[in-house]
Amino acid sequence: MILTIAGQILVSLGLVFSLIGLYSVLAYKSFYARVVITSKIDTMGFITLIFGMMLLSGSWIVVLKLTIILLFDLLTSPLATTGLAHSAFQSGYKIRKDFGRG
Amino acid sequence: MTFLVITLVVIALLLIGSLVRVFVGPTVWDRVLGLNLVTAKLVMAIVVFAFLVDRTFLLDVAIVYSLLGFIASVLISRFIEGKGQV
Repeated sequence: MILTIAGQILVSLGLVFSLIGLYSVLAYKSFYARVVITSKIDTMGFITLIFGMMLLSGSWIVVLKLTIILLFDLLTSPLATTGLAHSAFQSGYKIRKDFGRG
Repeated sequence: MTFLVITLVVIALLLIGSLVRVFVGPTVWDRVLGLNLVTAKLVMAIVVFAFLVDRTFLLDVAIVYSLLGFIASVLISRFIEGKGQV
């Protein structure tokens, strides 16, 4: 019962994190600010949601598979965003002069 | 049960919102960024759906989709950076 409530709270928190990330990605005007938001907030929401689903699950094999998904996302999400930012910088993406609010 | 359905609906709305960045995005890097977001949301949706229908093998599908999304994002980035050469 405690585990179910804690898992539901964690899943809701992950959804809230993803919602904040989505708002930032849609609202910010600078590309690099959006890359940072994707690399941080969205991964945070993913981790929180997977932890919540771990608490909701009852069997060990599900926890093992969710751990594999979580480790893989932790490994690949920064790599993908770093490669994307590197590609944009090498190709000469314009950096905006005004840094206020992205 | 009801909680998982509500979670799935919210994730679907987030996915549609991430698709806005793919369609609107001024440059090709913005579109790849939106694709990255959509991949993460879709993996979350597959995990929640696996819990909803109580099938364990759908988590393997989530692993494979995460792998494919990573490879697609990195390869598109390398392709643009090399101006046509990977």
